[in-house]
Amino acid sequence: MKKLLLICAVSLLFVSCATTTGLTKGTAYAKVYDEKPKVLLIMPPINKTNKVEAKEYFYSSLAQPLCERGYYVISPVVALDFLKSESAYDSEQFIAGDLKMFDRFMGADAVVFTTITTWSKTLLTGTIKVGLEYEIRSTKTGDTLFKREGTLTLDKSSSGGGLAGLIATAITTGLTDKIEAARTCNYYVLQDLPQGAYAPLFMQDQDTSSQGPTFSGTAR
Amino acid sequence: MQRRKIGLLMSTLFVLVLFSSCATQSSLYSWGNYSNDVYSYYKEQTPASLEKLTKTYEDLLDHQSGTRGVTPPGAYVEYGYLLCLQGQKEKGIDMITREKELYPESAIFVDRILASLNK
Repeated sequence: MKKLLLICAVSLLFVSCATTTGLTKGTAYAKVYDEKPKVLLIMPPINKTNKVEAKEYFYSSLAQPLCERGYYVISPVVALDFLKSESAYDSEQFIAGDLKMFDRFMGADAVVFTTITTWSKTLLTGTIKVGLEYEIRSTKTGDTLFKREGTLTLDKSSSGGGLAGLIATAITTGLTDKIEAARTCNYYVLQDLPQGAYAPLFMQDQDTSSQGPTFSGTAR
Repeated sequence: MQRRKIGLLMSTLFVLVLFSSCATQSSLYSWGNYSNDVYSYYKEQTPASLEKLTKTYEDLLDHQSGTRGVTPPGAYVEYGYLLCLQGQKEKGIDMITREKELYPESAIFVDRILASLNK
């Protein structure tokens, strides 16, 4: 029994962090190392799901992981008002378009686009399945510096199981859990982004392994 | 029995190694309840959500336990901006200016915000 549990635990860990691609960050994201973007602007996420709130879950939880990767992130709270006043908050208009204005007006070196393609919750297990695309494009060259897409299953259920566990799951999948889920997704996907100027491994993580342009897995 | 014990010890070690290999690095900044309060503010800009978010910034500015030991990017500018929205313009502008001192790369954005507030 113990052995079985151990195997389960080990395989779970593998699912959530390993998968070797043979890629390094230096090869996967060479342009990040070339351009060394310092200032990032987060555009409002493009929401292709019918879960209206998903956009805000992601928009409010993107700055934190990007700052933790060592970048300067233009405050989304203030930027949103500014983008609205300039009628420039429609991300779909810019995702493939010219970004030079964001350099000129806001000093952004690169712009972060996110698209939410799936958001589905399974009530019984308390898991949330999220489909996501992340793309960071340079305002100077227009080049894509970083792009990853895939699906994540967020398991926010506390163990326990049985009827009590089920009730606990139903109760705890509240608002905080959804923002937490979005933040976990952002941390998960962005851990592959080379570290920025304020992080200890800035320009020193070229040889660390990269998870590659696609992801799928379970995160907690 | 002895072999089982060794086996168990080995597997425990293996799991520990795995854990340490994917453990996240220590945080550069401390964040408190930041994303939740920002979400509430986006969702509904009420006096209550504004007040709660303002309080979160005060905590962020006063208590930093991250490895960098400084306020995270954006916190001064957001706090100052919200103060201005609440009528505390002088203190607000002072806070926004601090962002530029701490993060000079924010100057273009900060100057633009200051210009729009001084209109």
